[in-house]
Amino acid sequence: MKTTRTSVRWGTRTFVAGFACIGWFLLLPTPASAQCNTGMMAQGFNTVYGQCPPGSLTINPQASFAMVDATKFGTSTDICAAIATIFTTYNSSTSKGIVIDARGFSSANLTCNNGGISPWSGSVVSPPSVVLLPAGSITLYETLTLPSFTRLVGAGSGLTTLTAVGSGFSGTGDMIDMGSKSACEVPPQQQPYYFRIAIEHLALNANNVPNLSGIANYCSQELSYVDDVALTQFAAGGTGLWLNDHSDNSGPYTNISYSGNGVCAKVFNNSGVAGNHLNQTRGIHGLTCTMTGTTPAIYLDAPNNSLEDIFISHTGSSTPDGILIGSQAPAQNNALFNINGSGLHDVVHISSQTSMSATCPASSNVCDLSILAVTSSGSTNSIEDDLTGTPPTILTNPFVGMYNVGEPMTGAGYSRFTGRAVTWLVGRQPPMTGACAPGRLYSCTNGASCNIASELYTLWRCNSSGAWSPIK
Amino acid sequence: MPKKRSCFVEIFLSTSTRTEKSISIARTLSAGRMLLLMLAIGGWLCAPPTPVEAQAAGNKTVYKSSTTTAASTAWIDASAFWTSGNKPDLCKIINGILTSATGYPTYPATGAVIDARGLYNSSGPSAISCTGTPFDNLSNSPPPTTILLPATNIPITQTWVLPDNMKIVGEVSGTFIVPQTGTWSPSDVIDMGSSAFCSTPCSGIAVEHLYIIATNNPNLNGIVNNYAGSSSYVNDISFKDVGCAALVIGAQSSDAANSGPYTNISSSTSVNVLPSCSGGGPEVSYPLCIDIETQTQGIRGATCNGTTSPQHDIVSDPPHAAIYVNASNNTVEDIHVETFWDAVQIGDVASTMTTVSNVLLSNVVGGNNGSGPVQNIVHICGKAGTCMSYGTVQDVSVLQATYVTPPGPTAAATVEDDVTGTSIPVASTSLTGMYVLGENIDGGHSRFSTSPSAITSGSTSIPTAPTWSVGNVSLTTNAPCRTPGDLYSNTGTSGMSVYVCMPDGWQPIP
Repeated sequence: MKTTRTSVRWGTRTFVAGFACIGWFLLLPTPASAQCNTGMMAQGFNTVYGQCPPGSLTINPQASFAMVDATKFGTSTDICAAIATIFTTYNSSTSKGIVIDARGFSSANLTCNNGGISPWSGSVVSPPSVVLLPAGSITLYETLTLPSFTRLVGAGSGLTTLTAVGSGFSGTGDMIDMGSKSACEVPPQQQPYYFRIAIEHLALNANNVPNLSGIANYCSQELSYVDDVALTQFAAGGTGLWLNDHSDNSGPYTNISYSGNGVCAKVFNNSGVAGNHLNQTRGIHGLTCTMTGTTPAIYLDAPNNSLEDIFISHTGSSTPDGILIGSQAPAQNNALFNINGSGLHDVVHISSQTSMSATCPASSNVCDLSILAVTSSGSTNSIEDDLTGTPPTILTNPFVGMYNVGEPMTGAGYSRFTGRAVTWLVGRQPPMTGACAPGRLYSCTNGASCNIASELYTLWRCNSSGAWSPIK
Repeated sequence: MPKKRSCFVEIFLSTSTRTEKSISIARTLSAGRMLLLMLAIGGWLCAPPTPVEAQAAGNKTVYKSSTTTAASTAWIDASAFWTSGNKPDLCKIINGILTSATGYPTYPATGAVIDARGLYNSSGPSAISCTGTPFDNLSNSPPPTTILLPATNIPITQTWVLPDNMKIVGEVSGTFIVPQTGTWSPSDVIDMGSSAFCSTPCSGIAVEHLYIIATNNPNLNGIVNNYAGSSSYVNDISFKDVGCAALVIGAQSSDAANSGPYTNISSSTSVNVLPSCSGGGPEVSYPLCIDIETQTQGIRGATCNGTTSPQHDIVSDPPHAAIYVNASNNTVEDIHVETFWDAVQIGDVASTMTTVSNVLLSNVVGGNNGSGPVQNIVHICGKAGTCMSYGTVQDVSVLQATYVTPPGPTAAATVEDDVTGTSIPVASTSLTGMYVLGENIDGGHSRFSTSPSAITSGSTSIPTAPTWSVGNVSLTTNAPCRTPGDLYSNTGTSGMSVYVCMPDGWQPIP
């Protein structure tokens, strides 16, 4: 029958088509090469729609080499093993870097181990890379030593956390090194200097491992920075952010928080090492230190640095200093803006320590220091300045708008200007009677109202007896 | 995916044809054929996700449900349009996307992220191609767009003029913009906005994470912003061998006001003076690092390495500054300069009627990279000095100006104030903690410095900056002092409490 023949013919086509379809679907999805070209592996690359093969009238999925998905490499939980594997397959002859997207890893039981070897310091020379980490806690087994042109980016300082494994942590004593510590710790003329290392949007949990530090920069310089990083559970002996010796021109270090028993941040210049390096950075801008230990929160022992928007709180029986300047090395020409401290002895403590390598007059470690806006709440002092003599200048006021200490004048103290202590007051009436701080000046600006004993005065001084006396 | 769709159509056609031709056919299908049909349908249902929606080239695939994929229009992957050759034409492809050219889909009205990071030279490590610019043939600004550039060398021959709300972002690992000889008008590598794109100031234009390497054609400016105002910024940019100005802000128009911040800039040039630079302020000297000619949200973090010898002829080769601040209301902080005459120069403007005020400098360091030292860390232009010209400069605060002393020749001054004729010479101190220049009042200037300056030996006298010092001991009358006008406050309880430095030494104020 005609109808039957037709039925048979279509039925056969149905069979063939169905079989073909099953066969098609049983194939594993192997991404085509981008632009259908060859020569690079497409494993792990995202698919996009495109004309593949070229000239095709249809739109088909193909691989894009914009970024590689790390979940397609290594084990299901070891992110660093996947990164290391990707580095071994990277074709450096066709591009200057790679974006590795590890955000697809499950957020449970994640590790960064790779056999105890940092992916960036393995046997394969790692290419320039941007690594995107997933949200979640990642157990870290070894120091991550980042080379130049590396950017490590998490999902947020409250979302991506690298947690030290515990006592088995191996490496340099830091969770992340910006540049190789061993390579940096050679004479300056031999140092490699690293560039463009960035760490962003993640947290480091030191897991209370004694003496373990967070981020250490040994000699990573131009365009290297840290932004939006939380540093938590640091034990005594550890430092959250350590800018050590040759971090010149690095930074800025922005939006960082710290909590623990150790030191919040150190900026240190080893002046005993020859060379022109001073560890002058682009500053720390936005740092919160939640302290429970006995050490100062921040050591500033290098010149030409800015510390801005710093909040330090301390709880516990001890009352350490907030920012200690120049206690270990020369620290001239620094600027501090908006420093807020609570539960401290001195919110800012200026050391009178001297050293042979100091640039400041009289071999002092500190000179030419500008401090704008210090707030002390529940701290003993807002500023203690040991430079200006014995006893030191101590400001107990909860608010200090400006404190600038310059350099020693031969036989005549230190140049200094502040809104507190010895300062220059201005008013529309003569100064009030009563005790004053010797050396203060007072200008009266209101003409006829500025008279005492029927004489007009415009300028007063506080005499050595602690009383105001008119000058002119 | 069309193959899969063909399979489905084939099955559908086969079954529906039977239905149309004879409803009884279904009843006559053998059990085996029914089984095959069921297998086919079952196979379809059990198959991996398959696209069922129309997709456009460049769209990334996303799962629409647990079994089906669809095209996402959030990102457009430029590599999908690389259909021939080993070297993709980045500029042509991006331009095709933005202009919805033939062969490209309609550009989303709400804008998109154009991901060009998948473009590379498959034949080797050399550059990819760039014909024209990504922004050619745009009569108006396209919808807000972010372009992610690949880590490779991108040779360009024309200025990239960025439209409104355009962000271009490189990879930190190495996106190199490499200008070549070509038709450059203006002579800028990147312009942020234009009067053609924006009738009012452009906004939301940003440039991030790029290297601009001008070694092949140094006779250019780097990034020039004359038209992009609020929410427009530059971040993490390296300039190499830009022979004119690495960064210019507001030299031709006030539309760039309130732009910024300009952060993490690094410029290094081995190019000496070029004859045909332009585009910066009328009084600047090239090469330079940053020229600020309008109010901005500040420069935060810059390293400028020059090559110009500081030995200069005032007439034919006026002193070069790394950073010019020729407009009011600007902050410049965390700056490191080597081998320019001035690290930061303030108020080099054409007319004395122009006021440059409210300028804050913080943490400015000068040094010597081997080609000569910075002469003045901070140079405030005025009548008494060596700037090309000067305006009315006032209300300038300098916190932390330093000359880093390397071996060899040294700088002249940490602060050179031509308004008051004050110099704080490096010979006295390589550090200036605080220097504040106020305003001209009754023939004098309000001013304060914590850095005492020295009087030079011999008969030459340098104008000096008096300061106020504090100690807890009384002074001996006529004891030597440094700067006439210095004050000293004695916080101790014996002796006089205030002294003044006179030409004959310290004198108590009775």
